[in-house]
Amino acid sequence: MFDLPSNFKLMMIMKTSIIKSIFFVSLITMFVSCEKNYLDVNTSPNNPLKLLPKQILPAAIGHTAYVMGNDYQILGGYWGQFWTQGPTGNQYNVYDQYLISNTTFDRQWSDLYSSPLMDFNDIIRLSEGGNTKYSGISYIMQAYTYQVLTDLHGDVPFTDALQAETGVYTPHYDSQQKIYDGLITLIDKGIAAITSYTGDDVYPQEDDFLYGGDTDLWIRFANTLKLRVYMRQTEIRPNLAQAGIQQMVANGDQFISDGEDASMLFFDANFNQNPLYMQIASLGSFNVLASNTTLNYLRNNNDRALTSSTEEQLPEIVPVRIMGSIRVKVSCRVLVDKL
Amino acid sequence: MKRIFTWLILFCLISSGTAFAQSRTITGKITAKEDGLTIPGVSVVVKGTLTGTVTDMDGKYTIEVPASAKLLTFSSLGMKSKELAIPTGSTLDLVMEADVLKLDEVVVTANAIQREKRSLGYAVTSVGGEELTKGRDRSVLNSLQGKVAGVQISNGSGSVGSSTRVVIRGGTSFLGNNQPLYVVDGIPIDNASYESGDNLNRQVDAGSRANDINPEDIESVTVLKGPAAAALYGSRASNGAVMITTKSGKTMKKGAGKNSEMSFSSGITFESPLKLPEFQNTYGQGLFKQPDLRENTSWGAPLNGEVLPWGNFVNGVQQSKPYSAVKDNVKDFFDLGRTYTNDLSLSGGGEKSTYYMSIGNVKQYGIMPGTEYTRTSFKVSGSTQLANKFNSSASVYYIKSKGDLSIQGQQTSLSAWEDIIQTPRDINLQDLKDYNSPYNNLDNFYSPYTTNPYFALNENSYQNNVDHVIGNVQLGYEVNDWLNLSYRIGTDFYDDNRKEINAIQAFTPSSPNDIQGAGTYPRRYEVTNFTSREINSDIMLTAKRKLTDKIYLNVLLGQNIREKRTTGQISTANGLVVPNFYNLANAQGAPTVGNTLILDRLYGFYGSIDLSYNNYLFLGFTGRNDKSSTLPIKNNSFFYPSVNASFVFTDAFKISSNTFNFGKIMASYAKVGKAAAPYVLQNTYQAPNITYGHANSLLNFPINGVAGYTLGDVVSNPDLKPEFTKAFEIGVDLAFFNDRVGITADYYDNVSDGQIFTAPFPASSGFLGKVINAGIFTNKGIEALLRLTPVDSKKGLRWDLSFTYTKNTSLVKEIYPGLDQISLNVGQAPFSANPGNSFTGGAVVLQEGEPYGSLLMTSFERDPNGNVVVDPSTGYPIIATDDQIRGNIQPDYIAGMTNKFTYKSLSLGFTFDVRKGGMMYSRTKSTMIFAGTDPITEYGDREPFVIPGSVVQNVDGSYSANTTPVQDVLTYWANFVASTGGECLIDASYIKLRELSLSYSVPSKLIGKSPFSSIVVSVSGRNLWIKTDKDNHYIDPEASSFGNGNAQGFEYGTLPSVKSIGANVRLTF
Repeated sequence: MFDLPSNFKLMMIMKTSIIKSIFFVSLITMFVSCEKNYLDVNTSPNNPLKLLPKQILPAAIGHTAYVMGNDYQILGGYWGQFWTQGPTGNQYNVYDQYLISNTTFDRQWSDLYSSPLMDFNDIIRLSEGGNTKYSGISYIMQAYTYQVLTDLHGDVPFTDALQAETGVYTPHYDSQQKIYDGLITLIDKGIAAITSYTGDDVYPQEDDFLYGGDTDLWIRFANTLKLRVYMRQTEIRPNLAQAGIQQMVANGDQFISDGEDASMLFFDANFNQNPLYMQIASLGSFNVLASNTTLNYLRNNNDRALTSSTEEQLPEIVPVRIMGSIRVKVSCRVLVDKL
Repeated sequence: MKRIFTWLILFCLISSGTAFAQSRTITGKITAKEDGLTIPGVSVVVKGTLTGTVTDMDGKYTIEVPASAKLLTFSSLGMKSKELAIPTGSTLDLVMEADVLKLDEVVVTANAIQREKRSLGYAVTSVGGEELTKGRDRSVLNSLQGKVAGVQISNGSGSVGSSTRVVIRGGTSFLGNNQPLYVVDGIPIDNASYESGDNLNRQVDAGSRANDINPEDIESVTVLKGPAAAALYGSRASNGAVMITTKSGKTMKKGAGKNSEMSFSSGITFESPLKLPEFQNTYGQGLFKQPDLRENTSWGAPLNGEVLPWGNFVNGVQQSKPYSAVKDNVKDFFDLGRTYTNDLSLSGGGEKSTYYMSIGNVKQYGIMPGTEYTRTSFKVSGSTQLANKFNSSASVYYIKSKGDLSIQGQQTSLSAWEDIIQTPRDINLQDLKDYNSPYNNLDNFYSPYTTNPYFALNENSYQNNVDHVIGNVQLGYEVNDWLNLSYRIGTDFYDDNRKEINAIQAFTPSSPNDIQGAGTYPRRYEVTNFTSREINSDIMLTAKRKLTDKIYLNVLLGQNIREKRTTGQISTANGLVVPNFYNLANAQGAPTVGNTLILDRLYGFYGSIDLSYNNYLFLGFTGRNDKSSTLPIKNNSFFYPSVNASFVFTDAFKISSNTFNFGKIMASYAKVGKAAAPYVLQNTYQAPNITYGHANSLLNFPINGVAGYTLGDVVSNPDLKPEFTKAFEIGVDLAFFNDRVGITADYYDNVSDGQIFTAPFPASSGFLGKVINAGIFTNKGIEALLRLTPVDSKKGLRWDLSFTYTKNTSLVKEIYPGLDQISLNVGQAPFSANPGNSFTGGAVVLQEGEPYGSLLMTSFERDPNGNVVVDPSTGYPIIATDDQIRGNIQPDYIAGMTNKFTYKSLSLGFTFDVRKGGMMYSRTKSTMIFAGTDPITEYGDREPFVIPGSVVQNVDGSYSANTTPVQDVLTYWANFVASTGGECLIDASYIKLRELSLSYSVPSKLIGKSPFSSIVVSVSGRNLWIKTDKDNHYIDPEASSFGNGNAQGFEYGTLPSVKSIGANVRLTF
């Protein structure tokens, strides 16, 4: 049945009903809008928002050790002719045959800058005015990492790297010379930060995988690093290198010695193992084999490294391709020393 | 009441200006042609006046007609309207018949509001429940394939219970959700497909929850195709909406002799693979055309039928068999799938209330031996008029589904499919069935490079168990006859528990297969739990008023509060100690765990104003304002309006004739905002992701009890804004020859900008990217539906035909200055604690200037004419230094055709579905080429050949024809073709016979005195036939390894899709 109220009845009914409904609706909406906190739920419960340096340092050191100990070490091992590509495999042919391209180490580049280097910056920021032992370690680790990066890649971003948060999205590439000078500055900053801390915070301790928070060892490591920075420049800027080293001797700077390596220990638990072991095990142990160059050198010199382990376990030396004795500067020398 | 009535008459008479004349009363009874029962609710109007009435429960009406009136019009939804002359007598009875074509005249629109289709200024398509159940597919979304223009629906896997992806008009987002909003009875539900595994290594499709809805419980599905249609739903409906209305009981017709109806339906279907790859049958096991009894590839000597030894020596004895092809090897591996469906429903109602109850069960045994899927659904709903003008309704729908699924992907130790397509052509898979026998066990299996598929299938498994509840309660109050207030609260909740078992494979030392040791084979046990809960609360005030004679006004005001809460927990034992003991306690070392909670809330205020003029001109406005928890608190509110207009010009200009009986033109413009995903506004710390790319190479924290976190890699954006889509649409709806021919066509132009994505920067900045608003994504296209009824004879033969055509042009118009490509995540699962392998052969990317989804693949170097450039010293192709865009996943067009023949009690229907164009990557193709089982590897009798059309590059940069044959044929196919992603693409076109059904409705004469009111017997099939591109002799191109997410176009060893055929009987009583 159509039921159309006439105009005047209409007005009356409309008014009261509408008023009732609006009242009802606004009541509910007012009640709900009062809950201003209802929408304030956008902080992720899945990831921490603020952390302390001791919770970040382990990740930064661990990631650095992973990159250094894994593909970089294999590259160094191959080019230093300690190891070589086994003939039944082809995983590292590209290193073995000097065919690395500008993209071969993309992942390591991307990881180092966006993870440990940035984390070290973050720790420095968080430790300002507080426990500067952390900032000290971070400066030193950054120096170590930047040195490896520039040794491998040449000119790399340095002075305005790591500043995306202030809008620097495409940092420029600094010359290797500028970086080497910058490394000294970083190391000095690191040493100063460690030595200037007078508070009573016992940390870092177990969160420092390298030295367990031992400031003396860190300073020795820093000095050794500085020494290496100068040593690398003995042929290109001999005067600077000489002056720098003489200054260190004059200061009575101490260096690390036997058993004081900055090395990270891994563990036999799932995904806590030595990355080199994991990589070799999963890709096949026939990829990384002892190189004849070094093996013969050791044999010819009756080196005890061989007699204690290697020789006994190898029933037969697998013939490997001899790549010739290319003299790989700098890195090779230092590594041989540490054998 | 009476007083008002008198005023009414006087008022009408005065305003119409007619002279007072004697009016008289006409009465009558209206019955339905089909069953002779009376019809209540028929509208009876004196033509040319506003005088009208409605038939009562007994189908009777009484109406006062003025002397000058000539005609009475009778109309009812779903029935053909009639216009009859007012008789000289006082009685006018009539018979009305059902109007099949106009059944879609009323559609369910946003917020479960029913509107007449003619009044809508935007595109909407409805599909009735009957249409959905014809093919007997357990999935309501699959049942829509080929029937709705503008919508691309794909079911990516033949695995039981798999998920379905729906994209309307190309979607609107680079990386956000491109699926429409799914709504059941006004309550939005979730259709995400979560994979806890790594899709490249352990792919499983565990389904998506919109497929839980039992098609038997569905009254109709309305697809709202654009933002204009869905504006009232807010941001999640920027991709349109699929509105599912479930059955809710009905007021029984009087005279039907009953006040409730029960219906029972039972059926069985059989399934088998629809399309299997074609294999070569010329060469058998071996390498370099020589036998090698340990190989799992077919590069060996030509097959000659000779009885030869095979497999390993066990106790000094070797097996022997004829060296000939087992042609149906792969086909015979599959079981005949069976699905048993049973449904029982009860519905009824009286004058004031309705109720509906149903129980349904689907039990499916898959084609992959040992796989199963069960779905049991239970629905109860009712509605009632309460005292004092209140009305209420409630519905609870509980669905339990369980699957016992097989694992696919690239690992031979886990995926039986991966194993069987690489089995040498002469080795009979049936001989391997007993995987514990001395010749078939792990130690002595014929090849150390692969796994016995029966072991992979039986010892590994993936199970899921879902409890799903969709419920709502609604309370309404009729303030007065034109004002209505209603409140509805509803929830969609599900709890999905999964277990994945990867068995240990231990080899006895010195056994033939002990080459790499058990450590390299994945053995894990993973327990996952996902829950999703969404609650929507809506208050709505609706007003329907007549402003003048011809102008009606509908106003809607509403407020919506919504909360969605998703949790995920994954615990993985990486490495098991004791075999066959699948429990986290059996982990080697501590299990890795992941734990996630996502919470998202929204307030919305919305309103719409709809005006109609004389029932032929309609104008509508909507506006919605949303405040979302995912946007910055200081700026979390966004408003978006829409306008739509519809003009039925045949009524307006009175040009309606029998030839051209209905014409409508419509247009709309809408703007919809889409909020960000939760938690992207702040940069947090996260667990370090330390890997060099292989799954076993991770360094996880804590290490020796020391925890470590790293700063997140993405700079957050505290000023993030919503994404906006502006959609313009224009269309026509025409009917000819008394509705025997109908055309609906729409053109749309959607522009989505302010896309939210992470713009990458150089890592040397310390971060990998920043979340920004940028980018423009456009989708333009046309959709058309043509329906014809070429035959409609009085003898009862009727032929209905309909065609749909959709052409969408998608374009990634702009990304960001300096950035012209974004990668869609391939192989990475959300919620996963461990990242998987990344596929190194290529990726699905968004490339500026190309449609959505370009395939950026490693490829051979080619000259400008597309010829492969080879190395003149080896004859092998040169691999191009940069990956190249080799194709796009978007189709050129999709089309469908549905045919239906009805003759008395028989009805025959079939639907074709066509997709033309688009490319995809097929790992099945790559694996078959690698293993030498693909017929294309027979080229040149496997003797070194010159790659057809190949060229060499000259020193001066020009090209000349190549004359060097490939050095070695096997190396060419396996190390070049199969290993280069871009060379393993296939054309994704297909034509499918989606549905075929024949049903017989036993005539009432025969049913007679039985308790049944109807018996329908039918035979039907789905996906019965497929034709693909001539070079695609591999897979059904609908396959996808990434569930229903955005990265489509990748088949990474998914199970073949199935064709099904079966029979069903439905009894109603």
